[in-house]
Amino acid sequence: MILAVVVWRVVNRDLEPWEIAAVLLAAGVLAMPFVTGAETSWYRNHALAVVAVPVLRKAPFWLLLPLVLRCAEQYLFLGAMWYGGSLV
Amino acid sequence: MSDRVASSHAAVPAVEVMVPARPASATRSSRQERAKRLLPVPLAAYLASTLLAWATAALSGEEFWSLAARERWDSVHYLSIASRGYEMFRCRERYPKFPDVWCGNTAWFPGYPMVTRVVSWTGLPVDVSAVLVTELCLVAVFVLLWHLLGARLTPGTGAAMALAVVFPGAIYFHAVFPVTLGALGLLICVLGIQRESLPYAGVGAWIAFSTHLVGGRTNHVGAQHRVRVAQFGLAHTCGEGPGCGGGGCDGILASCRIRVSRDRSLGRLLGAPARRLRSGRSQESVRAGRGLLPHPFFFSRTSPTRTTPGWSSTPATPTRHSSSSTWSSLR
Repeated sequence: MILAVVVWRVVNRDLEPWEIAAVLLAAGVLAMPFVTGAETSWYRNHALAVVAVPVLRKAPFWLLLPLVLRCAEQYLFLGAMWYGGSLV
Repeated sequence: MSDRVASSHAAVPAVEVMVPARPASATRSSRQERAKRLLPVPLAAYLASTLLAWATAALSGEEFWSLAARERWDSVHYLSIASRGYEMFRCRERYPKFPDVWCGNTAWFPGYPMVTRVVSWTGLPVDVSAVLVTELCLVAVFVLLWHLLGARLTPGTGAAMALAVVFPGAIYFHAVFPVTLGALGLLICVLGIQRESLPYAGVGAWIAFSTHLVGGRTNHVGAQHRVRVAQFGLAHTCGEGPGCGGGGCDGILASCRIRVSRDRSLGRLLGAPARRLRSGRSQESVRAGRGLLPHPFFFSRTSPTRTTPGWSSTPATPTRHSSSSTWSSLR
């Protein structure tokens, strides 16, 4: 989703340098488990990708709404796993 | 013309009188306006995040307003660092039944425990301080996000803030983990880039890499730590040492473990004694051991169930070194 918005904004040439930095940081966050190994806690690292959320500020609402609902659903599952002690 | 001059002369004293009073009132009003613009939405986001975590805890049968709900796995190590500092010792010195390997909490980053310890100087217990640090950092995270979003409420920015509230893994934003502090560091770094301010960006990067592997990985510090830990032989003791807690070995130590596991594989292939490798003196082979798969060397040495005395009340997982399928099934 973020990648699609980034591509869309790159095509429109309105991506600012600090947003590129945020995207690069998020890409590093997402790539981290692949570098350190599968035993690293994925979701704990991926929570740090929240740094790329400002890149979505110009995305249309109808595009963001399904993403928010899907993430909310995933949040509930992950939250239940956390409180159950199985989310590392 | 003379009227114009007279009026301009008459206006001068009035302007001079008003000059000292203007900046203070203007600054105060601009601060208030800025606070009105910057704070309501982030505070609402924080409230929504807390309510969502509370609802999730209630649905899971857990008491959200308790310290026990905020602490899992590595939390005990961060709290131990905050309360007693870093420790590294031979396991047999404290736990005679353990193998002669290294134990300790040196694999966890210092930023979050340091801030927790500073807050605990106010008299609060360490675990309460840790939760307080996490929650305050979360408020700051939402404030910075809102600032970066432009601080204007539109359907797009509102949805983006909602996305931050329910972001995958956002449950860690309320836990005794350095995730919130690390996210704050990354956002300060981005804010520094936006403002073209090197101090801002530097402070943010420093917070990030002192807090979490993600930040540390972006520079050479992480690599240096990794080599150092491997040198002390800590990495390959992780599965059996109390320093691992119940599920903890993430970050640097995970990298270490994989690297040393590769080192062992190479050592076996080359016929090098495993004991020599275990002592951590074979750095050349550590460096040369890239590209080989982890070897199930530790598997036979681990017991099925074990509790880590004095470090964590959670049972350690016995097959983390060798069986990725078993380890992944625990997640």
